[in-house]
Amino acid sequence: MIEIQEVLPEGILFVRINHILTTMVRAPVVAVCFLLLTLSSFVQYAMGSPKSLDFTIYADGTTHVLYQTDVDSQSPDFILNVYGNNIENLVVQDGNGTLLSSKVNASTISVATLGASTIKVDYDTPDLISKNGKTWTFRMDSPIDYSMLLPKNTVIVGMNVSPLGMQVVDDQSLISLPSGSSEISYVIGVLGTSQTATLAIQKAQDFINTVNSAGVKTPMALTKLEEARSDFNQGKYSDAESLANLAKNTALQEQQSANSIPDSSSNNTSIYLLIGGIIAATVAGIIIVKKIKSTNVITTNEIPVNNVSSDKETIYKLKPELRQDDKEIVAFISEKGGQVFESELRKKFLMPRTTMWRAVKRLEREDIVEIEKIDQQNLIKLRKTEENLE
Amino acid sequence: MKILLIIFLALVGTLILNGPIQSYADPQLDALLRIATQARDNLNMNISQINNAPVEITSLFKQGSSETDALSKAIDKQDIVSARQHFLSAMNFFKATNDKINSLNATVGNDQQPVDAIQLQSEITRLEKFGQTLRTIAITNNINFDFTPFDKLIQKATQDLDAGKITEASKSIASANQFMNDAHDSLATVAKQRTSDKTITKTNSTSLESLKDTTKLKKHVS
Repeated sequence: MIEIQEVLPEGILFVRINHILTTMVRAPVVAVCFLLLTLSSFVQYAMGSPKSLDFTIYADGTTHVLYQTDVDSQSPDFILNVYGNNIENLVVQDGNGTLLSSKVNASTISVATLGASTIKVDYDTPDLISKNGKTWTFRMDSPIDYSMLLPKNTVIVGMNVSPLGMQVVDDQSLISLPSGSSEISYVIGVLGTSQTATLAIQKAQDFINTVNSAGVKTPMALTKLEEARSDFNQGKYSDAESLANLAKNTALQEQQSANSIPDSSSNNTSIYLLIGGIIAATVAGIIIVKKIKSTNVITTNEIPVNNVSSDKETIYKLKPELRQDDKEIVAFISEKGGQVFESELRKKFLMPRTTMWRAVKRLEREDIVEIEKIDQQNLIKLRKTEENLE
Repeated sequence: MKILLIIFLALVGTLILNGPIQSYADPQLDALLRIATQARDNLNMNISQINNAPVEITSLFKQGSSETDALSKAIDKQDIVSARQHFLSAMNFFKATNDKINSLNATVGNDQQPVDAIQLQSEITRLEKFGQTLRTIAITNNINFDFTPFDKLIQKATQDLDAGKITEASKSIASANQFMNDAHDSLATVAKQRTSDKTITKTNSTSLESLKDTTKLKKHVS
């Protein structure tokens, strides 16, 4: 590009730049590229700026707010709006963790930034959540996307926005929500918690005691109650609660049947009629089942009948080292007659495809289940218990 | 040169497009199904515990339940728009169901004891978090502050609460709260003092520099 001409007698060095025009034409293109790069980085900075807003909700309805934002380091003060009117435990720090001086006005906080370029504000407020009956409602109108950590044992029962994501952290639901107005209703201490299970067991026990004290025996209800206690001890609070409610209902039925015995003894005809009716119904049922079986055509989407044994208790005995979540899968398959599609398992346990597939493969390796392909779906079948004995 | 230019433009294009695409990523559909299913299971259990549940409640619940089923189907088809609509609709029905159940149970009183216990437990958790923040600030800024009394108060409050001694737990929590407020004030005072010292040092050094300049200037003039 640069050519050095021969040295002239006077000693002057003559330099001529070739292709100067080409370079000048390309220069604007390069400049435009740099401009686009600058703009793109600006756009990315604006969209993914380090501002963040996180809410941690406590069981008593108080919310912890964590707000991080960039501030102008040249400005002595920074004023930010607070969420809620009453705030407690206010802490304002700069990016290095130095405590900054702050003053709370009606609905704003004035922070003496002292040259900080980022600040972190922590405070608690009881004003973001209201309660109606057992339902708590969190209302927020946020300028940016934010996260919300709910208390333990919480179930959301109402939501007017689609969450951006959800994950469970230490038994607490962490939900990402979009900017804008949102309203989330939830209840605490609901189905499947130790609190409610304890309450249900206690209620069932009290009711059974009342029935027993009246001279009525409730063996079936007591058995159910024992099962509920057993599940509770294993940490299956949801099952325990269901069984406790069932125990109460069973006790009620036993009480009702015990009360009806004197009347029925006086009129034996009704018993004979009842027995006759049951026998007739059974015979009719057998005939219908036989007819259905003889005309049954298995469609492509139907699950074929599994003739294998589906005794989950035997499997548990044979494989005591089985993981708890695997046991639950086995129990579910057993309840479904010994075979289910993998998609059903995913729906039941709300597991991602890969996680469920790993669980199924684990059970297959243990010779507990076998996998069969039907219409591009995986049918998971419990193996015969004799096969597991090997 | 042309190849270089194309590569350069491609790089710029990728950089520009990369940010916004990430920002508009699809929502986690599994999360929608999980939230709706949990709501359905919970309400189902609540309704089963009501003797002769009103038709209005069961009807609203059924609509929410069928929307949840539709949500599940939409997710299977990866139909994001439809899934979102069904989710919002399901949650709307569940909210209405829950409100109706609430109005039914409005007359039923709740035990005060567990509510107090929950509130105190929450206060303890909050204070622990507040304490942790202040502890970190003290360490970061090399400020010696003894948090042992606070730890003891929190420990006592937790023990009292576990033992069902609500009044004693409340007293310990109040003391811990006061301790934390004092700690915050102390740390803020120290931080303010240090910042003022820094500012004064800075101002002094600036004045010294300007004094030197003035002296130099005077010497120059003379």
